[in-house]
Amino acid sequence: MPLLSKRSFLLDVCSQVSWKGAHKEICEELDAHIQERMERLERLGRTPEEAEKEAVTAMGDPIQIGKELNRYHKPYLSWILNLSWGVIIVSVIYLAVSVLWPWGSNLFVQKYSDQIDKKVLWSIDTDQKQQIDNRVVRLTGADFTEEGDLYVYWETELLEPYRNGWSFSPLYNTFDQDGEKIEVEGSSFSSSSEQIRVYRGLDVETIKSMTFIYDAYHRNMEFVLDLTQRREVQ
Amino acid sequence: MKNDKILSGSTAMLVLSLLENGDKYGYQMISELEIRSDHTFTLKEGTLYPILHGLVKDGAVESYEKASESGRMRKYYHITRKGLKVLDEKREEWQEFSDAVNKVIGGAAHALA
Repeated sequence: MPLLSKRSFLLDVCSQVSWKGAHKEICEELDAHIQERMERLERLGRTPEEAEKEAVTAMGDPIQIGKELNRYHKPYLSWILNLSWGVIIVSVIYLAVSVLWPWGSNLFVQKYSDQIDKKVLWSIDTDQKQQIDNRVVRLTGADFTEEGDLYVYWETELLEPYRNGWSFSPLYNTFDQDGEKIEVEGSSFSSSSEQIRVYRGLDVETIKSMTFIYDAYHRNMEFVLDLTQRREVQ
Repeated sequence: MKNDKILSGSTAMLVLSLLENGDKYGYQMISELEIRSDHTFTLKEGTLYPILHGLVKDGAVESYEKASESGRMRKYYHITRKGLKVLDEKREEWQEFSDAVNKVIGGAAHALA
């Protein structure tokens, strides 16, 4: 035997309506109806308790009514809403990481320099940093390998990157101590903030220093790597 | 499918006809149905609401809220153009059906027609 109270009637109806967004509206409407019926019954001389029982009984089976109502209050809209919130949140996080914080992607990507399998004979330790506008470029060092390759490590950082948008491919020209342009076979790897330039077959016995001209939209930054400052690696 | 079901129901037809001469809220419709049908239709009052909500979903009826004199919020229902069209069609169908039944059972008016 169901409880013949208005409260339990409304709860039973809503228990069948899967979309919670419709509960308030449904409850208010049914509540108003029962209330009005109760007032009328009380005017006819019923006690409030009798009136409530009678009014609720007159409504019918709350489970059946709830099931019927559920058919017309499908949560499609709320699913779409939830889905789009998910998409929005993921997009915002993605944009925050990739645009506002491009160097932050290093958190997720292992450094290239650690991934390359190479036998280093000697290294040059340096830390040179230059800035044009909001672009900071660092020369962090170099490794010379058994194969005769010189790996030169760079880092770039855009301060306030949202003003400049995306990253760029750095342009370098390399000169030796006499101002002769060094043109050897090479390659480069880069992630969003880290670049490695590899010079293959470089004559490290005649080249004493390398001067790198970093072209930031025709305003140059100059870095000098002294090849005589070697630190031997066992 | 669902739509057809709700619109083909005779109770839905009664509800639409109640709204034909003015916007009403649920309780008011129940009271009027009792009076108009001379207490023949003892509809369980709560079952009116699934019908109304179904009609809203089908676009036959629209709802809006309005406060009563006593300040209570009431949800009124208003029949739409589509609802009126559906009601006309249903009336015609009903008329044909009842004419046919009357012919069979020998209703006086139809014997002359």
